[in-house]
Amino acid sequence: MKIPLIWLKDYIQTDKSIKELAADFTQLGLMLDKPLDDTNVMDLEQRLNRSDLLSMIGCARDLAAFEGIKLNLPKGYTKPGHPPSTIDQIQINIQTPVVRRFQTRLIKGIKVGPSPKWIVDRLTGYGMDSINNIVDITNFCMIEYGQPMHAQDIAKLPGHDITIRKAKTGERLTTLLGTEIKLTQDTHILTSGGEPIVILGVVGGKQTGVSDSTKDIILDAGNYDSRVIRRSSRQLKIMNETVSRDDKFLDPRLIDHALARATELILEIAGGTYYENDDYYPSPVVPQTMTLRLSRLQLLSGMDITMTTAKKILKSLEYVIVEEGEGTITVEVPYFRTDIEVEDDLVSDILRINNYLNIPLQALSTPVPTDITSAIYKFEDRLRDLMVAQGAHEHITSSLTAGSGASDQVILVNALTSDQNALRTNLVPGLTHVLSTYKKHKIKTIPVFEIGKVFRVSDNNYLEGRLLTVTSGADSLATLLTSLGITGYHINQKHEILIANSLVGTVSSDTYTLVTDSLMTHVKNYSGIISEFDHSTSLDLSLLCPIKVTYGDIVDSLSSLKGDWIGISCKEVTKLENQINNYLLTFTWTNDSKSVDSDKTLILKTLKDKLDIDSKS
Amino acid sequence: MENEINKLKSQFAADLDAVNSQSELDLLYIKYLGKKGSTIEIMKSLQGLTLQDKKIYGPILNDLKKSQEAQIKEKSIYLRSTIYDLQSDLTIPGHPQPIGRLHPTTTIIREMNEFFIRQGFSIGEGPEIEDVEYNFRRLNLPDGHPATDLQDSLFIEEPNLLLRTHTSSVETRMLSNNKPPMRVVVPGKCYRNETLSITNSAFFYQYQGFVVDKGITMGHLKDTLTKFHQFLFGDDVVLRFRYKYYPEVSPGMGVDMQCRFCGGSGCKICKGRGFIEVLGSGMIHYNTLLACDIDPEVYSGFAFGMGLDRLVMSKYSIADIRKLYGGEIVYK
Repeated sequence: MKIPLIWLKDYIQTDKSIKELAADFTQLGLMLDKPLDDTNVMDLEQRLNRSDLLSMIGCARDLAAFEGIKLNLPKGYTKPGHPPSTIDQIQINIQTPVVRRFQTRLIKGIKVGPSPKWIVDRLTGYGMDSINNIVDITNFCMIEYGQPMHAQDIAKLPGHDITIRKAKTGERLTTLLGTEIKLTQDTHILTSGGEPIVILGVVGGKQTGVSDSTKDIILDAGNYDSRVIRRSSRQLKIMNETVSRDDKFLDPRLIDHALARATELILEIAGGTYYENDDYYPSPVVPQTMTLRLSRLQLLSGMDITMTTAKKILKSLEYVIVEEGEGTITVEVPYFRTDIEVEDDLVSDILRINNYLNIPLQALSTPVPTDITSAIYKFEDRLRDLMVAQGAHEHITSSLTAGSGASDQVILVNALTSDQNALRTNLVPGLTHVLSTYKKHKIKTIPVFEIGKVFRVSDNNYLEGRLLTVTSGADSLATLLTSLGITGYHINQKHEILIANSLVGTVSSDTYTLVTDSLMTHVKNYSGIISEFDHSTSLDLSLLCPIKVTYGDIVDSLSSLKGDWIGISCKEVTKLENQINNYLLTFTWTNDSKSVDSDKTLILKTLKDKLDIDSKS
Repeated sequence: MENEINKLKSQFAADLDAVNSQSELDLLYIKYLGKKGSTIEIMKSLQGLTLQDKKIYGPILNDLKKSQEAQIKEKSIYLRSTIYDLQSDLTIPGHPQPIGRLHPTTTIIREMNEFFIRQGFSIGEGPEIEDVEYNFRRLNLPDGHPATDLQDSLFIEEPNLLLRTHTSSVETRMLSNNKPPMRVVVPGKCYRNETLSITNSAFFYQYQGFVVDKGITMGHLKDTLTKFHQFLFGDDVVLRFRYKYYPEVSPGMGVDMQCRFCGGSGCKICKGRGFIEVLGSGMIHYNTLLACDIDPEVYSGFAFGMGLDRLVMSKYSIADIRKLYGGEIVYK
């Protein structure tokens, strides 16, 4: 919202510089959107909840309260208008629940011409071009009060009615700016004689616009369901001053004030006579009241604010005190404050106007609560340290990826680009890209890893899996598991990593992946340190294996035997001729085992029987 | 033939003399004794000679080859001894060895966690595929609130299932599943329907924190955030606390840090404002506590949330967020 200093000073008297005023607005919640320049205009950020801060008066009111100075408001034309004759009356038909109020007034015998300088100066400061006195006044009042309004040339209305309804597909309308819009059923429109003349809450049509020859106008201001307006503006891709206000939560009572002001200015500047027309307002708003407890104010702020201060501030923001009790006041919420939901919002207003800088710092002093950090968070952090200790580099890559067409991949229904329209199912592609970056920049081969989530959908259940993937081989895996106190693990034919027969991950030729929460259940926290040395006996067996037999097969074939050995490891594999591989395996027994020889016989016999393996030794 | 042999001998002697390192020596070996080396080639050419010549030059060439091999070996030993001499020169700077490294975001998260753990906070986590209930509704964001606009979120199933748009969804989950008192911080990934650019990514990180206990005030919030920023930036940090609206808190509070580049006078970095917005915060909304089954008449709480990426990027001088999470950074 642009605030020209010259306009702001219509409502408040201040000697502060524009820089100081901008600093005050910042404290109030409206920071500068753009840096100040020499134009004497402040460009303040917009706020989603306070529709009144999209008005000059709204901003001036908060500032006056903050500065503790008087706010001067225009009076407007509050006398009733002439009753219209039956012939002149424009029939208003509302055929949609989207409209909460629609007030119309007729002003006849006006003289359209250029606007007076004071209006042009203010509109120009705000960044709006001057069109003619009537259009300028409707714009001026919209910015002054935050209520969009609209003037149309009665002579150009195709019918003697204004009807508000949903558009029909195929209907067209040319906007004031000359753009032709194809309407759909999602848009609401004003029609006259059945023809579209205005897109509700969004933009007026060219056909009925006010021009130099206009003599009689119908002035309207409406209150609509902001969600509907927001939807049509987004759909039509039209964003303007009207939309930015109509898509906020405005109070229907605002219309009275804004139209009174517009009527006053039109009569004063363009002349004419004011006739009343229909005011569609089926369910008038009941003013909202709210009770504030001083104890609540003091609790949330941590300050000893008095009720006197609270009352003074609330009054300056135009709250009306309707009841006072023991440590409580009940106020009527002003019509323009559609943001007030709960008592704490009153606390918020009081602290804001009292300036947050005045809230004293207070150290947390309650007892420290129980630690509820999840075990998996701590474990994954430990995995990071262990991988770093191996010399690996951690990377984080995006979970968003291109859909592969796999049926279990989670697909986003409204992604902006096709290369980011799905969730990743594994971490390998991200890390592969990292490695290609490393290669491009001639960084030596360093293992990289990522710890993160992957996603799948199965029977309409969305599953999040926690993985660690490392671009390194068997030694890195063994190192990691050993440092977690896991010595016995097994890789089966499907290249799955098993610990105590439960699946914890997979290996490929150049990466391995572990499911962190499955892995966590096997971890021994205090291991890997030896103080009592327990010697063991070991025996190397040189085995001649047919080419298709793997180490995994050997271990599998021995797993059901009742031997005494406590460990098997593979020292070396050599490829011999005649489709034979030579595996050199080391078997380990405790020092006191007496069955080394019988175990050896059992092992060799089993391997021969099951896998046709001969012993070389 | 004899001429060629003599030429080869003297060329070899000269080349050997010029060698100063093991790698040069390796090249020399290839030049003479490799598969297509000069000595080997000349030996191959024996085949075209007469039997008599073969008898003369065969043994000579064999000797030459042996002698060259011996000389190379000798030179190698010599080179190693000179390396030893180089090692005794302590003024030569070393070369850094590769080490393991964490991602910059992890490093910053750990730094922040360290501060908050010391203040008695736990670290919270939650799902990334989220329900509208936890992502919006319990945060006092009713259907139709501008902040819940469909196009700003990445949906998996409209209108109820989406990728969490902020870490505040973890706050509502933890408030709903635990009993106060609670002090929790949540570092986490978030997603929005943004077009990719230098500063915007559909995938980003936030750092959230909240405290719920009896008697929690805005003074506690201001104090916690002041200490946190002093921890991150030093004791001379200057913060500005001001009103700001966020739907999930009331009263809401914006926090700005005085620009550390210009000291508040206004520059390019702070866009002339003198201050840089660092985070949003406030007292947890009455309706949020109610929705999470915590009695707001007994407990009060504060919450704060900040984007993490901008901080990571400024600490590590990374200009483009796409590189940070696009696998396009390398660690020296």
